[in-house]
Amino acid sequence: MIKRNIILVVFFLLVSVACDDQLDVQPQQSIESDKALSNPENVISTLRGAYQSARSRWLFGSQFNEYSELLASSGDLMFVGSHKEPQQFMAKEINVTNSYVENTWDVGYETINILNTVKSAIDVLDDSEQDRVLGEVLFLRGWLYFNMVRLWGLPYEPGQTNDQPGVPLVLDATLSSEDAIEVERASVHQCYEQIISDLKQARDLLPAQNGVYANTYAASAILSRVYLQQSKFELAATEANRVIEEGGFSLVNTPHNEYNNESNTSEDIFAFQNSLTDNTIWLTQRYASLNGMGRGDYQMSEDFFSLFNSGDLRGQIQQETYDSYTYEDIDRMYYIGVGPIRSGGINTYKYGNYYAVIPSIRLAEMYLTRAEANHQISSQVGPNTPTQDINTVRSRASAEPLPASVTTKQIRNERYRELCWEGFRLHDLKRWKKDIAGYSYDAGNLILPIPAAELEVNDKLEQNPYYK
Amino acid sequence: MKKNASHWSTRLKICSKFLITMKLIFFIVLLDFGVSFASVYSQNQKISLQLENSSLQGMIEQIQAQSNYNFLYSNADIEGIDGLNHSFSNTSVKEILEVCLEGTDLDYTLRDRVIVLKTAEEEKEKQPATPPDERTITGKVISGKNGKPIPGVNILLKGTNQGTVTDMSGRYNLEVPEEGGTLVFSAVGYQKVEVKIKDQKTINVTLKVDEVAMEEVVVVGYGTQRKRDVTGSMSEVEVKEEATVSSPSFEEALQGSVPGVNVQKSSGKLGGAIMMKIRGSSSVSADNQPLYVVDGMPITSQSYSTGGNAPTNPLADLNYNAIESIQVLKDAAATAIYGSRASNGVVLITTKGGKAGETQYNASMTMGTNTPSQLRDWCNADQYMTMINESLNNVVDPETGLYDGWKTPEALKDLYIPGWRNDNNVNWQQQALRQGMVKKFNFSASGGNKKNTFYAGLTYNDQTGIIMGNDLEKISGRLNLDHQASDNIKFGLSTNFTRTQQNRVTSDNTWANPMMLVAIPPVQPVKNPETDKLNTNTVYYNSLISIRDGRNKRKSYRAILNGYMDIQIVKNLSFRSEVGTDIMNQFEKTYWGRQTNWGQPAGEGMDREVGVRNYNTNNYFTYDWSNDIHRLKATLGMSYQEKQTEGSRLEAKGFPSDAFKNLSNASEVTSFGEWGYGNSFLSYYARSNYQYKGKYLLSLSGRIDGSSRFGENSKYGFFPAGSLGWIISEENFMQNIEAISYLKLRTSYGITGNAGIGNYESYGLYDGTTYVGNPALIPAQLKSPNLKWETTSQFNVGLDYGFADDRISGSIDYYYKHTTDLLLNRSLPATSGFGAVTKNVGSLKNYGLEFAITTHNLKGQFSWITDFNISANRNEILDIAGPEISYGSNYVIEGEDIGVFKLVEYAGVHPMTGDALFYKNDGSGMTTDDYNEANRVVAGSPNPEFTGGLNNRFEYKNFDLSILTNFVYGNDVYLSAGRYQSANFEWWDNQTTDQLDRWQEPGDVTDVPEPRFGQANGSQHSTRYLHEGSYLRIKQLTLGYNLPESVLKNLRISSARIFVSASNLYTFTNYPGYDPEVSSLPAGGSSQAYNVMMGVDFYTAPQIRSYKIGLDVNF
Repeated sequence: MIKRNIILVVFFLLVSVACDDQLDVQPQQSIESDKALSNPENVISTLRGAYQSARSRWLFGSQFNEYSELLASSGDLMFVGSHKEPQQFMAKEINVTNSYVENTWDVGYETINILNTVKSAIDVLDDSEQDRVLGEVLFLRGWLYFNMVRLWGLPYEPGQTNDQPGVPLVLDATLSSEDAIEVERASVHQCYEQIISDLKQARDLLPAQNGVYANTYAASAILSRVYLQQSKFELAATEANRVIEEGGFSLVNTPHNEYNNESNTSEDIFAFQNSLTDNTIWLTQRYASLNGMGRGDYQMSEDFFSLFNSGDLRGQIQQETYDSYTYEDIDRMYYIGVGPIRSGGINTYKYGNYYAVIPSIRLAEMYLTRAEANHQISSQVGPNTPTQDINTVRSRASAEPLPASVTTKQIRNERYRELCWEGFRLHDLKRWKKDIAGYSYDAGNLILPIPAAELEVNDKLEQNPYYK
Repeated sequence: MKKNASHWSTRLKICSKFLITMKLIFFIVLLDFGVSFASVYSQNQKISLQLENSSLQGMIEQIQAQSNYNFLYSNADIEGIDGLNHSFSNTSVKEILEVCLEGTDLDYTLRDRVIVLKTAEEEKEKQPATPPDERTITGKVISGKNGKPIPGVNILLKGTNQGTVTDMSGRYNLEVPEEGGTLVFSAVGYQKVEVKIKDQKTINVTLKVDEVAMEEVVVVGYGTQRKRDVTGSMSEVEVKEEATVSSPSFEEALQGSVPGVNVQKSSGKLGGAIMMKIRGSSSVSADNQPLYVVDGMPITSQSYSTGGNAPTNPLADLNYNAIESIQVLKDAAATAIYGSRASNGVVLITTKGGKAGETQYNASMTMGTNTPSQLRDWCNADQYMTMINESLNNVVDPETGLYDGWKTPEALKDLYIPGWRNDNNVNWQQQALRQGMVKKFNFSASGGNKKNTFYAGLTYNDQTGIIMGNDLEKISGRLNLDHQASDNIKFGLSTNFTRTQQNRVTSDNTWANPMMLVAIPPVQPVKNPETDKLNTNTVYYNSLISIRDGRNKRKSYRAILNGYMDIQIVKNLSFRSEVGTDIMNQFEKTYWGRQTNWGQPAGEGMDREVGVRNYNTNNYFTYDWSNDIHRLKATLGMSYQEKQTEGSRLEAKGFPSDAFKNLSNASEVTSFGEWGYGNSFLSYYARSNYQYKGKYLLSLSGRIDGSSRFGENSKYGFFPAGSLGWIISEENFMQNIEAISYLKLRTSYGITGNAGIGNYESYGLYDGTTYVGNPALIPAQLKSPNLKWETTSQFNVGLDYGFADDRISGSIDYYYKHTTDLLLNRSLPATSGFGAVTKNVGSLKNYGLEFAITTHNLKGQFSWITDFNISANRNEILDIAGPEISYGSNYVIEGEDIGVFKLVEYAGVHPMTGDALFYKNDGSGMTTDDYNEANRVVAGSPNPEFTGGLNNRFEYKNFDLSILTNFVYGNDVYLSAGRYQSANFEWWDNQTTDQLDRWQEPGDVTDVPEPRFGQANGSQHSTRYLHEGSYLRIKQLTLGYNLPESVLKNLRISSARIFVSASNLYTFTNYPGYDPEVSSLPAGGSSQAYNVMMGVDFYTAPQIRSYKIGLDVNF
């Protein structure tokens, strides 16, 4: 009897010892950071991760656009949704705890860190790839900082010192928790310096063709935006001119065809990519009101359409719509919404399908920028007069051409007509020093608060005066 | 003669099997089964037997295994009788005995089912040369506890080996010599009684329960312990059969019944998560739920539901009916043997085993209705239109008549709330809620013989919830088998299979949650009058469409299997090996029809599958030794647990019609994923309990715990505990104090851990993703190589008491828990690119008092027992080494308790302007109408100051009545949805009727600001929506009637009970929302979010009130 007991006990003990040494359980759908940046393939993958992160709803995927349009709105755009956060933007009364603001801040810096991480591992790459990758990194970083400094910093004032606070400039990767240090806000001047430096380098490093990723002309285009924001017209015109004349881009035949495409058009200098399985839906959710797409939160008031002449394809409303309509059934730039909620308003066609690419830098903008810049300093960078450039854009929209020597007002209106709902309005109004819904262009409530949560973790940050 | 008498008493001790039978029989009686078996034993039961070189012992075992016979014998008598070679088929036991005993000096006598083996000498000695005159004594033995008959009582004529046992109805008859003598009545668990026969013919005896001899044994970690020897703080939850029949789940039964344990159901959704806190929150970021151990196996208790929905409750897969006992371990002395997972307490669940004896059947059924515990008053169409018009008129431009320069109020209403011009008056609340029903059937059988016992049970439970689209169906089966292979080896298997099928509603924070229907104005019809189909033109999504055209199913298949083997190696030393698995396969299928808000234009579906495989083995030695003065029980062992989770998900869209819901009919895949993760724990533990002179107790335990979750620099932790006990009532000086029947002082100190974090939080990680169809990587987590468990040191001092013969008994405990090295999700500056990193920083404490008392107020025919318990826990965050942590309005702030509400303080309405006012809280004491000017302050806490319960149980004749109440006092609930539904008609949402009391003209004094359409006038987050959450609830009221014996006899059943019961019958509270027991759990939230976001009500479903009627029969 005792023998049998001992055999059993020994057996169980052996079995239990056999399952020893099992405390090393490895993750399955992630890789360890030590391994992540050890080979060129992973570094390139991380760069793609940065594009994906930049396309996030909180950045280029929607919010950069929405913040600009909502804060700029004074009647043309109506918010009819239920979310409190956009409502605060419409009211120009943003809470310091507005979760959208916080997310944009967080994801913005997350993306910048991914870019900095790729930059830190640039030596892992083959020499042949280093320039291109570094160029893409700097392009995205410069562009991001440009958007962020415009949202959180008071406007850039040409000819001034611009020592008003911008955003913290983080230029090195966070590789361990020790790197996660508190950084103070750089001045708006410093931010623009960094942005221009990044974009210039990017322009010089990037190739002319780079698939759906950033190319040298995308960097020039953003650089022209930056210069235009600074009212450095000649530089703006030069960069825009470079894109128009050298880039090989061309306007698509009608405005309508520029939107809701599954791949880049001849007009797209850079577009964030969406696909069936990998996409950012919020631009469509907000702006569209179609069968299966969009919730019609943002609608246009009828007044807005007085901006267009009758023939202008960019200002036409499709009145007859049905519940079954998708973007494929819409043949005008605006239509009466048919979505399940908030239908019956006027919605834009620009974002009717969230599987489509997001045209983020278009050639039309370059014409308008060159026209405006040339007009401002009465120069003629490039082959065209401002009037010719404006009419290039107009004729594509079947709008009657404007007579020679266009006015500032005409140029600005054209810019609105062409680029409305694409995230330009707030920044344009600010550089034109126009009042916005009764507030001065440099009013403190027209920029965002530093998120309350971030102030709590970083003692070096200073809140914008309006939100103190 | 003398020699023989002592012989007999020794025999009774050594015949352990006989004792077990007695115990089991006793148990049956204890359970109030009141069984009276038909005492028709076949004296000629026939069996088949193969004896090959068998000992007599072997023969006895075989006969016992196959028949109802029990043997009484002395080991010494049968020792050495072996070499039996016989083959019997269908032979009577008598015959077998005669054959086998031939040639031995043994003889047998057979009475009822007891076979007594005696040597011939004994026979001779016993029998005088001339048989004396004999007479027969008859009688009945009943229990002093409940007056019920006791079967199996041993009755012996003192000084002889003449004896018998009582039958199932407690009756006996015994032939005694004419001259009489003394009868000794003894039974396990009762005090021995001696009665002189004299000239009595009938001797009825009442046996008093022997508390000491009962040696009540309780389940502890890795073993059992005598209740008297326990020095830790633990509460046994009485599992009453009647409760298992009428209560849907064991967790609910714990509500209000255990001091120091706070159980909260998050909402009235069926299958929703349950939060259980034992002695407060000991963690901020890591799991705060106790460890659940079923039959030695730590089971899966976390939700594995899709991140897009609120968590589910895997504990619901346990079948309450099959639970034998629940033990809640609270202090370090009790829990430290569970090491790094013990800080939140341990819940030990033991399932039912079989008992030797005739097969017992139990059948019960319960039927009833489910209704919402509370409804709210919403504006009707008239009130709504009056108010919305007022609200619009207050803001339209008097000159243009336009709202915001856009549209006239009429045009706006046409746009947003079409239907308002018609005479609709819809109560949308009634569309969201309904009357549900509950059905539960349970059938079980248990029994066995000496060698094999079994319990088999099957339960079917079907409920429809009070919310549209919510129901739960569960089938659960259990089979527990135990086999006594020999005196030294016992093994067994317990198995539990459950299928749970659930129709779910979405999480609180989505428009598809039916509770949000209340936001739709009463002027909008449910159905479009033209098409008679559900209205698709409501201002907010009409989620009835989702219920009609969608599905949201969760199915879970669960198997919990535990095998064990007990080996008595030598006297005092035994070894036990346990191997268990807990396998859960969960399937979720959702479909959104083409008219639903997510499913347009052609339907969208998701399939998700998760498999959780959890393996565990425990192997330990137990050494148990005692003499008159010392007693030592020691345990040494190891355990290993491994858990693997695998899952996959596929989403697709484009279905030919809503009739096709399977993904194979979809035209396009929109999203897919696969994941897997795991963790393991390897542990060694030891414990010793030492008792001196039955009154001084010492216990020491320790565990070395290693886990894959910890960082590479700190894989193993050590968790020791020690405790002392002193049974004061055993002291000589206490013997004269009659009033005190029991008094034990105990104290403990020990260290436990918490490893309730994600599986890979010590790693630096990059997550895989894609961009434009190419693989992409994103840094996801910073490395934390020193990451280890949270450490909780806990001190406990307690007193167990019993007064007046234990008519008053209970316990009182004080504890202090200090948790350091918090596994804190420490916020980093977001500019670093990371939101947080998990680090061992910070500390918190919990301390509190627990008091429990049970009083037998009345005994006898009318009996009344009261249980009362109350506990107070105080939590304080000492250090979080960083900024405040917040989820919505819930905060973690140093110096405050976890989850406090930090809000702007609402100051009412300016009587002259109608503006909402807020306290500035900048020290000026001023109010402001500018929300941004007001500072947020800690305004309340979701943690109760006191919790407890009061249970009264009355019995009169065949009736019993129990009233269980539980209470929670001193907490606050943030009615977050108030910002939309009690927001003075700021937007289109229908409002609670209290909003009618709004400010209208200068001079009005009210709390409801002036309605201003589209403008936030008081609807911001503020204390306007913070309410007292205290409540006292009549949790369970049950009235039962036991059918009288006269009826039962005719029906040939042993007991039958009919009952009516009501759950959540009434709640006393000042809370204005649906129900103060509420927690809107964030969909896919982290454990930190669950820990911190307490007491938030956001379109959360009310709790369920149910009325039930049922029948419970044993036969």
